[in-house]
Amino acid sequence: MTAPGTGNAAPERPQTIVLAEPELERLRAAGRWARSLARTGMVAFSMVLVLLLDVGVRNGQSLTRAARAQQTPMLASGALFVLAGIVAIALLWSYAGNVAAFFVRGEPALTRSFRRLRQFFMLWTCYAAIGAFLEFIAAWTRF
Amino acid sequence: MATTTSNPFEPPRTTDLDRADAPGPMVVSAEALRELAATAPWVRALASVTMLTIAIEAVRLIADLGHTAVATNSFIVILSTGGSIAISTLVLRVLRRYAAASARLRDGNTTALGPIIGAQASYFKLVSVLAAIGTGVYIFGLAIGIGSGRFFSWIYK
Repeated sequence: MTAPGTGNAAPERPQTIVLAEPELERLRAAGRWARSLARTGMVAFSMVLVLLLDVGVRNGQSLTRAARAQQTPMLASGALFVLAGIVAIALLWSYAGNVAAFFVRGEPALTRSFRRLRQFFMLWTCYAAIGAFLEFIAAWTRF
Repeated sequence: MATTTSNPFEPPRTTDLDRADAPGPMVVSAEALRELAATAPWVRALASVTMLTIAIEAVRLIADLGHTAVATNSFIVILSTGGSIAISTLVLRVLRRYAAASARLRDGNTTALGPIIGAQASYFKLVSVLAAIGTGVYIFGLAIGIGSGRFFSWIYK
C-alpha cells in the first residue's frame, strides 16, 4: 500500500544512531504501554465475546432485535472495529515483543518493531477513515 | 511477565522490558530509521482523519440534539458525544506531536528520534489508559447485569 501524501523522497540520513539513556527509557515505556494496551484489548474483546455468546445462546432473538435496532452504518462500524481491533492487538503485541527483544539482542528487532508500528498506523488510518465515512452517513441520515 | 510497582503513574512493568543487561550500545539501524520515516505520512493521515471525525461528531451532536425533546436524553447525548469528542481531541494532540517529529526525521533531522519515541510512548499510554477506563466501565456494567440476573443467569442455578 502506498503511503498517503509521501511527496518527494526523503533526504539522505546517517546510517545509524546510538540511543541515549533517556531515549531508551522512552522506548521501554512505549513497549510497556503497547503491551498494556494489547492486554486490555484482549480482556475487553474476550469479555464482549463471552457476553455475546451468553446472550446469543440463551436469547438469540433479543440479540437479533438489538442488532436490527441499530442503523446499518453503526452496525458496520462496530463489526469493523472488532476486526481491526483483533489485528491491531496482534500488531501491538508484536511491537512490544520486538522492543523487548531489542533490549536483549539489539538489532534487527527494533526494525521489526517499527515495521509493526507502521503496519498498525496503516491499519488504524484505514479503519478510522472508513469509520469516519460511516459516521458521516449516520449523521447525514439523522438530518 | 508483569510485575507490580509502587507508583501508579508508571507504565505496567514487564520483566523482559525492564531488563538492564543491554548488549553494548543500543544502535538504531538505517533500516529502522527508514521504517520510522515511512510511518510519518500514515500518522499525519490518521491525525487528519481524527480531525475529520471530530467535525462529524460535532455535526452529529447537533443533529441528535435536534431530535431529542427530553432534557435527560439531551444530557446523555451531550455526555456521550461530547466525551467522544474530548477523547478524540486528546488523541489528536499526541498524533500531531508524533506527526511533526516524524516530518522532521523525514527531512533528515535525526534529533527528532527522541521526540518520536516519546510520542509513541505518550500515544500508547493515553490510549491504554482510555481503554482501561472503558474496559473498567464495561466490567462495572457487566457486574450490574450479572447481579440483577440479566446476564449469565445460569450462574444462579
